[in-house]
Amino acid sequence: MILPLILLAVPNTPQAPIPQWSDVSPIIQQHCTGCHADDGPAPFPFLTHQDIARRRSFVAKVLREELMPPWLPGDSSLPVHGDRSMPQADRAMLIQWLEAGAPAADNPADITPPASTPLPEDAITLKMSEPFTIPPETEDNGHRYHQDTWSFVLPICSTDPIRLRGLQWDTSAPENLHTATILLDGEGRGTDRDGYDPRVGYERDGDLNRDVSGTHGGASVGTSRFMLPDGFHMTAPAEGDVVAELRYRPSGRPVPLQDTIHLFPAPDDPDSREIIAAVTGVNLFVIEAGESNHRATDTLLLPAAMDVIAILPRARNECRSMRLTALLPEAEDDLVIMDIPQWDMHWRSHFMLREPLHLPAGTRLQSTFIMDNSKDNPRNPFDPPQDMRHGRRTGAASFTLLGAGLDESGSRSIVEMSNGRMDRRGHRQRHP
Amino acid sequence: MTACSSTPTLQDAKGIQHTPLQGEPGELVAVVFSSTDCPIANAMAPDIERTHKEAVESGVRFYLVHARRDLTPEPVSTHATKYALTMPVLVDRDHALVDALDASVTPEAVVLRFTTPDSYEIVYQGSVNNLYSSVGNRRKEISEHHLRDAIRTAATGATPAPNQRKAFGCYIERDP
Repeated sequence: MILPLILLAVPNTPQAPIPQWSDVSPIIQQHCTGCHADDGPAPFPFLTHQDIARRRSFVAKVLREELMPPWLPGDSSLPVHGDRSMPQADRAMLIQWLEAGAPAADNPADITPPASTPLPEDAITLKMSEPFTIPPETEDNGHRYHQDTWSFVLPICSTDPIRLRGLQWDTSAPENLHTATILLDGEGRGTDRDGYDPRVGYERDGDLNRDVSGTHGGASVGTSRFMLPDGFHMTAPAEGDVVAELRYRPSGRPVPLQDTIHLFPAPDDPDSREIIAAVTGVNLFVIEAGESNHRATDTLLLPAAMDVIAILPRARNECRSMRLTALLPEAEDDLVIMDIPQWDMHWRSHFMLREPLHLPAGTRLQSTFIMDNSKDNPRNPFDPPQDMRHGRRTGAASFTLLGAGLDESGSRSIVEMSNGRMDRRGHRQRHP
Repeated sequence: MTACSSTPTLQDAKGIQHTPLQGEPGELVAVVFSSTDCPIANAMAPDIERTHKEAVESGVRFYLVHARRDLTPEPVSTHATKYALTMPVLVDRDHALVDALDASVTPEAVVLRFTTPDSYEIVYQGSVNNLYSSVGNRRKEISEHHLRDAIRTAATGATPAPNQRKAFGCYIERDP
């Protein structure tokens, strides 16, 4: 009679109760319904019990594999606003509920989607004058590194410069749009580029010479508003334009896109500082098909102190991971600003630091990119992998730091240093 | 290769009855399981339509099958118009076809060759193409047309090589 003895020896540990809809719906509301709402960027809403229950195996799978909710910065990154990462305890509870068959009492309460923040009364609204059609499939345009990308010019029509504290991009194609990145242009450069392309908008990225698209904010999946912290502003030049680079994902059918941008004027503040961009990145990648661990780095030495308010990472999906660190003068250890262990350009965004980061003059910023051009990279855009030769003057893979020097002179010297570094990297690119 | 026998009758969005699991001996039938709100299946719609047109020219019957229990004809019809799908689109509310062909995800393709009017062998079951490498990871271009190639091979009378790429996509929930 061994079996009964063994059974007696097993401690009688109480089973954790199976979570109910009332336990998990607050988690879903906090982490999912920002995108999984009616007319949201996600392909289906998560607003009712039935919305989730009828997809429970699929939802459990993407939760187990940590594909959802999407969030790029790793734990060692500096804290940012809008953190969508899901605590492991919440993830475990949600998976347990799904695997138990998504139990709920009769008439389970629906989830209320987050309320949208109203526009400021003084918002300036600009709309694309003509609709663009997102094609059903990626079109072969002969430029394999510039596909599914289109830029648009929206005239601001103001005879005076306008200080802005933020903006909001509203899209008519939420399921398709990855990112809108913005440049405020007072030199007609976007209009010139638009003039060369007879179609609606123009088929190029939104950089303007050495000015990086996104310097003046943007929108990403689930985040339509870009707001500067108090004490910072950006300027819409007189008779200037908004130049917007849109990256989209074709979805199998033609989708009309005619988007709107709302510009938010800033309050009068004589001490407010104009934001600038400092870029550290790699201009050219030459990586053979199959190479899985290509490491590239860049260093930018800050000539003046900078208060950093936001980070905009950028890379193609041959990039597996990226990291931005700062070595402050006199410091022995690097400060990790942003570590992205699993890069996916679909979830690219402006990451707004919770607190501005003060970097003294002499700070050494270092960006590191690990590229995987093998078939083992699930995000490799080519199957089978192809030799990669991709260059971009402002950085084929980069971190753009938005912020300001302590005064105009400091800001100017940082921009000159960043642009000079960009040009030197470009020089090596042209004459390897 | 499996031999099976079953005769579910399914209705398309126009109310016409279809019996995809009945056919003439030697006839080929292609079935693609789909879903109106699966982004992976939807992204492949243009390639599915191209494959359908080529298959029909070869004399292959081709169906798109929505495997959602709560789907009504109206959204099915709207979906077909939106995505320019011209094949018969069936709704498998009772999962008769899902169960008979053991489909698990959308999109998932099955190619049948009939041995008698009521029995068939499955000559291909797997992915439609390689547009997606995994959930959320869409490639820029399709470089492998798994379903199209399987139909082309089967149309010659040969049996397609076993698919190396199992279908993946949005799960078909079996339980109500």
